[in-house]
Amino acid sequence: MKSRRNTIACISGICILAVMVIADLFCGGSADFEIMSRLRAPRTVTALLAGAALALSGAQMQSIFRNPLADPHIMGVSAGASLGAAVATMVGGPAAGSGISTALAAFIGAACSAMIILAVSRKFRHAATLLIFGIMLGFIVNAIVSILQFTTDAESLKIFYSWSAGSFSTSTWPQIFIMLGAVIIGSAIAFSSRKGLDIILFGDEFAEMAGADTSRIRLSALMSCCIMTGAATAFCGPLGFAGIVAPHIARAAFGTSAHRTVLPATLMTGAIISIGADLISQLSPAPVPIASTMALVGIPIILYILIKKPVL
Amino acid sequence: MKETLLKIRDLTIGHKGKPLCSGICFDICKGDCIMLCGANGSGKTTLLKALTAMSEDIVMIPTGIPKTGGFTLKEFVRIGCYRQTDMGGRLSVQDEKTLDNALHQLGISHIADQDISTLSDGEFQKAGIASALVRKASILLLDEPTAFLDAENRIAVLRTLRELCDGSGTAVIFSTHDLHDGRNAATKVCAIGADGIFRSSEDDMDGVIGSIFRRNETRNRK
Repeated sequence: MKSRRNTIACISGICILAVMVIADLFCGGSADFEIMSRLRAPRTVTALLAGAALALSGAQMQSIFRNPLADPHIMGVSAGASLGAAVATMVGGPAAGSGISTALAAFIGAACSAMIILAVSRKFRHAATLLIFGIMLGFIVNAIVSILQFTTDAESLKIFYSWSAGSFSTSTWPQIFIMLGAVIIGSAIAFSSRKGLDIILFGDEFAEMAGADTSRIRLSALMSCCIMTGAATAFCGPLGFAGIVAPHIARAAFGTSAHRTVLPATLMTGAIISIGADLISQLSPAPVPIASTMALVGIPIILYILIKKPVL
Repeated sequence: MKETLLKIRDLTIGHKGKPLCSGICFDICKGDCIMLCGANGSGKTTLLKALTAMSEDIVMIPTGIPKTGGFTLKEFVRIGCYRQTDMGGRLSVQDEKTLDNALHQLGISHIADQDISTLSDGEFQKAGIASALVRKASILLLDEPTAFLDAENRIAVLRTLRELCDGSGTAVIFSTHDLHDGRNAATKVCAIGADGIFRSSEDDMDGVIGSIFRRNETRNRK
């Protein structure tokens, strides 16, 4: 019965994703090859990869911190990536804001935030305290970014503002390939530690008594999060909420918390949410930044999760 | 004459460099069902953890494992066998058979596919014991297995432990504050007394239990 449910959920997910991809590709009307290959296809592929990357990062963070509201955005990892990308764009000039150096800077920023979170996570016994710490860390990092904004030139500032609103339409094919590489590496790390992610849900003591190395599981999961969040944030801006919402939808749809199912399901759900947000942005009469669409769609779902499963 | 699985001699346990109890001497034999008692902070859990570190055949089931939903009882047992499963969390065919036998032995095979969030605390405790059996533990350590259980589940879990010792020869050490029910299930009692002295006995179990309330008593080690 469970396998039948999984099959139905899997086929439904693939169908929804396929319809969303086609709708996103053709929603402008004209199907001219030039427009398709230069504008629409990169935008759709970027949305798909960014959604998958953030959702998979969120699923891993929720498991290693055993917190249903953990995701790269709330825990301050996206803010760290933003700082890295901001430094690369503002200090290195507009030319630096387009390639692997930005992704690398965003990864380093994300890794610094993630290491701070990891270092303090063992000191906080209550899930809510770690969330508050992550939010505060995000505030501090964003304050540093604001200071940087005041010291930079007008051209870099313009690039940074349009980046921080979030967009899937500015990515070029080389950037997309960097993101694809990040998603492949991040997913490979996540899938290889799915057994560890399962056991850590039952507490560190149980996991360690069974022979699991919890520090190693956390480190590899955070490494995977930093690679994927760093790439997605560097090229699409600081996008939140897909990382929280997607794992919950995946768990509910497949009726399991086992990571061998949850991870691929989350990858697919994240891609669907991200392309859905892009479609809403494209179809709206006035241009709406992706970060705002994600927040408008994601926050009501998060509030629903809070009411159903309070953590505070 | 029972086969001795582990001889503990003059063991000192402590926490963060401070000794809690020293001169610990006792034997763990095949089929022993040992109750470990003592006041809070006396070193029961520390002693169990020290024993766990001695051999891979000694498996400890901690207390207060969160009942994370979204896993069936059988999946939880497999997850507990972390070292035996492959990268995807699968057991070998032989271990799967051992798992089925363990569930049958503990009387929980009928709820094998039930989500663990819907299990009673007693059933969940038995699932933890099942994972220890699949790990082929010769000595099974349980830290307060009856904590938070109602009378019915408490007796059911203790009866299961005793049946396990009598039936399969597994040695069980369980720590508890539930002295009456624990005493009834045990074949041997170990206690860390109020004076900080470790005592154990098969014959004078009540005397050993009494030491956790009395200070300044002479040592009576076995």
